[in-house]
Amino acid sequence: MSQVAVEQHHHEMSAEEKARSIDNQKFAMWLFIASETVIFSTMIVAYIVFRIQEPEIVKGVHEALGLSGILLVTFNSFLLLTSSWAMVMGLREIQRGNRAGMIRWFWLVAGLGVAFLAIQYYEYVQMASKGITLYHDPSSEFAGFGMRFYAPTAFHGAHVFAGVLWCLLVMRRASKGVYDKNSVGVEIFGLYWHYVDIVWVLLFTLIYLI
Amino acid sequence: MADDNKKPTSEEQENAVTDDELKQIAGDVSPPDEYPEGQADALEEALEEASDDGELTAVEEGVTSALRATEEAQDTAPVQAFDSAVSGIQSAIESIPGAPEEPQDAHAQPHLSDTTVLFGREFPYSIYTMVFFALGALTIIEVLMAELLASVEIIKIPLLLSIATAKSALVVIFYMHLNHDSRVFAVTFLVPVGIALLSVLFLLGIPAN
Amino acid sequence: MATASYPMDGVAGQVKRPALAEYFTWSIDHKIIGVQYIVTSLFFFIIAGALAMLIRWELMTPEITVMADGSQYNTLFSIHGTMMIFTWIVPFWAGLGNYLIPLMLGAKDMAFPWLNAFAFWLLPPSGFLLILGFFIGPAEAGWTSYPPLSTIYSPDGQTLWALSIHLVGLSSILGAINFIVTIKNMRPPSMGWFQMPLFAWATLATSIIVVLATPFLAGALTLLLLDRVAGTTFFDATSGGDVLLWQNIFWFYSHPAVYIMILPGFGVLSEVLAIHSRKPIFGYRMIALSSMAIAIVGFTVWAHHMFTSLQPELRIPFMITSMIIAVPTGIKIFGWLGTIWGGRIRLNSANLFSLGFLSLFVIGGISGVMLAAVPVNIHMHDTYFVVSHFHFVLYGGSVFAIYSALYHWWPKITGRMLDERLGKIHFVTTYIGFLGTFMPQHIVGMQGMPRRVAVYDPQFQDLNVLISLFSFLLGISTFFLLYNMVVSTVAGRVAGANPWRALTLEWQTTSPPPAYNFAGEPVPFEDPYGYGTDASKAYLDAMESRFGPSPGAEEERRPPSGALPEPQPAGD
Repeated sequence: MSQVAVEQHHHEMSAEEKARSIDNQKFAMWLFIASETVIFSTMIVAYIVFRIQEPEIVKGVHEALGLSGILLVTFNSFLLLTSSWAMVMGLREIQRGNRAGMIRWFWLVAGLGVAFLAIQYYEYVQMASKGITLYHDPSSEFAGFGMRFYAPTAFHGAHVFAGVLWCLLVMRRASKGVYDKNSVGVEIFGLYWHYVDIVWVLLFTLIYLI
Repeated sequence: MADDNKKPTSEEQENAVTDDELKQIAGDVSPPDEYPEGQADALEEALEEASDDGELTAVEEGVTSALRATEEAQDTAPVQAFDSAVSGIQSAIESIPGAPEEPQDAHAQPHLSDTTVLFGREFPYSIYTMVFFALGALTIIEVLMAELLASVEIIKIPLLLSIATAKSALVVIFYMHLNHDSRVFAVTFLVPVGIALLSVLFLLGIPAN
Repeated sequence: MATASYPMDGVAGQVKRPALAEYFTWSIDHKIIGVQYIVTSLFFFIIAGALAMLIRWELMTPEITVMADGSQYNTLFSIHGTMMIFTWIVPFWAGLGNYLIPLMLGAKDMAFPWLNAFAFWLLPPSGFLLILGFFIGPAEAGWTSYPPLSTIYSPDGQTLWALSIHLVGLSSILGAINFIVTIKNMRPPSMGWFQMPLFAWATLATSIIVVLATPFLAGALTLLLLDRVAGTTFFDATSGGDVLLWQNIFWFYSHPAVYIMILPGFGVLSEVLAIHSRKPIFGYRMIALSSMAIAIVGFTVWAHHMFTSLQPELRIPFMITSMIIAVPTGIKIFGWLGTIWGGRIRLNSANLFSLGFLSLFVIGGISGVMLAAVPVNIHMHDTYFVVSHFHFVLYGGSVFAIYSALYHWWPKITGRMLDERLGKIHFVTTYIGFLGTFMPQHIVGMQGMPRRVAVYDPQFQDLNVLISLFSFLLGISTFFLLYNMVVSTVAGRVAGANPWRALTLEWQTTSPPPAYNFAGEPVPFEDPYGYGTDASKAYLDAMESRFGPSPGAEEERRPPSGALPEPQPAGD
């Protein structure tokens, strides 16, 4: 058996094999994403249970937000989706060997991330003024919604913040030519950023639309 | 620290085996495929010899007959089915590909092209941009549905959930490259999703308090 | 310490140890990090063990005599349990894995050395956060920390407790990612999945559980922290929260976590029993795959910890899955019995602890199946029977495996042998102390003595005094090991590269291994447990010609006077 393995190792890898092979860093990132999924699920389940048990409160929150509130969040979702698109376009540039092009796209990624956080902050202020608080306030008509809303969204926001910092780091390293030969470093940041995007896609639908 | 390591002297090196010889020795063996047979008979014989009167005690009887039963069970259908199932799992695990030897050469991959062929038509955008259009359109449909069907929850909720799932799937498949990356990544991603879904469904199923 | 290594004629396998200072700095060498983990976890083991001694001292009398009040007693068992689990057993396995996995796989280091060091340096702060709790009123809610005990009734130390567990959790997730990638990708080309040492399989299964289960705990702890510091009421039933949510999420993590604590021990046993019985492991495939089966089934049994708080319809399904999970463990037990069957068993300390594990773990496993039966569970819930059960699997299981691993791999890590006579004294005192401490707890438990109380019915006092006396013996027995380790480090017998004549790759280099682990490409023996064949003898002799003879176990190999001649010609 060992003889076969040795031969396999030495023959030239075909393009197919190369594509299917498992890079250390990418594999580690996927494993990290796996554990992130589980953490987010605990917070999301706390929200879903509340949504099922207290549908009237959630409906009240949606009415209090109004159409303008929903549209603002929709716009915010667009910002994240766009940043994901900018991310892959940037990755494409570096894989084609165009360092400057990648950095241009990544400025868009970081900028959109910051804009997302700014709008989320504005939205939090709006919600707080309507009496939706993180702590339990029995006198509020939205009692119990606040904590189940802020916990997952703020946790997600923290991920976006970390992503923006990481993006700046990747840009700095890219400008030094770190990724010219091997773009895996950019790709694993991309995996993280898209994953954060997916979480938002789910949170957006679950919290604001349903 | 490396300097501290005592280098073998030239004399020792002469005595030592070379790498090629070692490979010969190390690769010259393969683990036996089957468990040895006839153990029960051998044991019984040895025990009879060891005992004073040539009779086996009850415990020794029990052990030998259990061993004999195990040996006979090896040839029965359920055991063989189990064995081939385990062999199937083994070869599935062994077929998992290894690490790349050199950084991936990503050039000339379809997702880097400037055009996309979809349903037989060619679009002047890359696949990434096409997916972005789809994501935008799905988001708009989602918000419209949420407003239009606000009162019909029985349709609205499954519909919105499936649109959200479709959006996530688009991102995972195209932006996170699961369409042409290793399937191991897909498993790594889907198993925790499955476990999380199980736990979510469980917690939804039991009444609180 | 570096000066302790004096050259011996004909011992090429002897190299200097790393300087002592290296262990106190940020190092990315997996061997340094492994030792850092092991020593740190031993430190916390001693502290947590001292807490256990205090618990037993208090329980000598049915009234509160040693502690000031009941809540002080609560802090004892809470911190004892937490420390033993999160800062002793879990990090010890991380440390042993760190040291051994790259060596066993013939790699130069782990896949991500920097991440490895980072994961370790999260551990000391987390342990000290637990200790810090003693200055502001430590956690009182037990290691399970059910609300509302942990939210309303526990002092500020509970917040530190949650932060501390968060750090350990992050540390073990990062470590596990590192292990999975290393095991998957860093093997030499001639070592397939099913030529890996079984310890690597066990570590792989453990790491998969850590990656998938520990985040549940992280999520629950985040919500608990919010409840404690931000005024939320996730777990407060009086304000729209759900107390069972904590129990469910906690056991989503913590039942798989008991396999995190025992699976590496299974791996150690597979190594030690095969090597010291000089026989191929029985059923390699089944032992390897049953680890994976445990990892999968382990996710479906959590609610058996909650039989008394769960609604009744769900009890039977969880009873069934809990009994099913005993099957893969049973497969392993029979595999090990098949391994030692007819072997040429060396009764040295390493193997004695492994055999001790076999005897004690079976008792703990069977009392586990008893507890999985709902009617028994309702009766025994929260009694000393439960305490006895999990000490049989965690002490009689995990800790015996840890001791076995220490005796077995100590020569590789330090280049010196541990003293065999002290080791045997250690084993005998530990075994007797253990049985005397935890066997009678079955009885007091079945008679109805509840756990986690300082004041109990006087009818249990006789047995409790007996338990306490034996537990002091158990406490003292640990010092034989510590003394042995110190003496061996300073003046132990030189071990040589391969004192046990083992076939796995970590022994096919010097002791301790050089910074780069192997000179040149390591050549693994194709069948890692193929003892007793001519091929394995040739391989071991070839290796001996490379690294010189190993004087460490000479006494082992010399047949005892008056002994029968060797039964097998190709003995090794």
